[in-house]
Amino acid sequence: MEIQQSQKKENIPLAQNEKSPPLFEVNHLALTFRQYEKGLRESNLRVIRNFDLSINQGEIVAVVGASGSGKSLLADTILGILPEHAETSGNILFQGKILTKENQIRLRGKDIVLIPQSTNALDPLMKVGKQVQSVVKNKHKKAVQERIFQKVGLAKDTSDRYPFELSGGMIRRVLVSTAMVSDAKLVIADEPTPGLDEQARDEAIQYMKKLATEGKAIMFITHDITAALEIADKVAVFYAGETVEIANTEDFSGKGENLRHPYTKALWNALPQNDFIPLKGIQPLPGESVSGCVFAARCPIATDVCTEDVPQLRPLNHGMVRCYHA
Amino acid sequence: MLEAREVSYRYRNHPWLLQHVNLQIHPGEVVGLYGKSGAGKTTLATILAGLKQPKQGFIQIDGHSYPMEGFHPVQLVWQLPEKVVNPKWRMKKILTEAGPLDSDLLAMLGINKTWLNRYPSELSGGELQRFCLARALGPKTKYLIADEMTTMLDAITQAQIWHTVLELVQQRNIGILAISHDSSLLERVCDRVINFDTLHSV
Repeated sequence: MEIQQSQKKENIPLAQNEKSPPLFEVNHLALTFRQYEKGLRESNLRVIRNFDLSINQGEIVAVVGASGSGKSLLADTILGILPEHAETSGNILFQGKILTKENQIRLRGKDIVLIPQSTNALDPLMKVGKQVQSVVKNKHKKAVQERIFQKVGLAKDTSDRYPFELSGGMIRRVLVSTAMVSDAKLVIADEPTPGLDEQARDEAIQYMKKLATEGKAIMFITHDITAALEIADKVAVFYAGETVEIANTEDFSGKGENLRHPYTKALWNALPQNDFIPLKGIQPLPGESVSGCVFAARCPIATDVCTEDVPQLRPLNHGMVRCYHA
Repeated sequence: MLEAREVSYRYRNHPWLLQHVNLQIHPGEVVGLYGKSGAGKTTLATILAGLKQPKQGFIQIDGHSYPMEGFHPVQLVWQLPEKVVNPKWRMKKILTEAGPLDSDLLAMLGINKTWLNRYPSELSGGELQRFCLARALGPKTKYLIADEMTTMLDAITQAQIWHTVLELVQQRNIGILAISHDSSLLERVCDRVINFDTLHSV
């Protein structure tokens, strides 16, 4: 009896201390494409090797990476809209439960929505008002859509227009409204800012922020580190298919002394408003096999151990890093 | 000197987009241009590169008016490299279409020789943009129009590409018009920066 009681006493505070699990979590995600080389000989092209991330409710996490790092494929992987020859491993958790294929089909477009990168993503043969209304689940579809359009600064008659009649900036707003009218808990925004002028870019960023204050979790995929830092709570730095660092926004300051990974430091110091220093070399291409750390070939502090074993993501200074020397 | 004088342009059935634009770029000078989306910056870029004729006004290089014969001395580098290369050609064919390979230039731009046998879909945006630059920077190129050349690229690749371009500007005395929304980038690379709105009087 006594033993049981003491166990109970220990268990209760432990359970209370434990934080509720994040809304969305990705662990050790890998993605490979099966390819036919010649005839029936197959080869595997590995595009994502080690992706880890977690997002809480109301939080914005930016995923920052170079073009060709595989970041747009992340969105497709989470939504389960990859082509058939793709194979994934690792796990994705949504509200603490593993996101299976069936769950992905059930949740996408409802609990998990995508703001696509391409402005070609709207149906060209359907008026944009109708397209936004199709996402609304209650009876007052039209009223909800009109209110949202007003909120994002689209004129009332915009709803009767077709996508080709709208400018790039207006289409972005329509795409954001589809996310705003949905009851989604997780919004994945894939490169919503490039090619916009400063005003339109600031607007797009503020919509993102609005979505977060409504309690949605936002995964903001971008190559624009300045945009990421303006709104994100955390920044996941993605290099050649791996999360190399998860940093807090305030770590990006000065010469990057508080940043953990040498790639993140190089990225920060390459900005024109900082030192504009170009790091030599290029990111390994998808499918290129790297035995150790993906960054070792360009890293100023690499040693033998870096080229031998893949470093694991480990906690450091309220963040995470995948580096032996951080 | 590359000079636009009183250049005006409109698309059919649309109001004037450019009106009485005057602009001068000297050899070896890097000029920045910024302005709102849809203001006509890219239209001006295509006119300067001789791809479109202005409805009024004219463009001159060292006193010679357009159209030019042979290799055009003003070359344009676009924002989206994957849209301006033939997807069915290997990179080598894409490059040699503009003239023989210049291995010094390729090395400067950090182009790996093995990439020459690849198709555009097998390279990332940053790598393709290096090829587009190599293609635009033939020996006869006098001026380069960089229209949002590095907007789609990460900060490190952007810095790499601009450092090379600025080195070439000095080596070959090339004049550059850099069009961008990123004011910190323009301040960093340009000798002077112009607001597009002040260029013309619509």
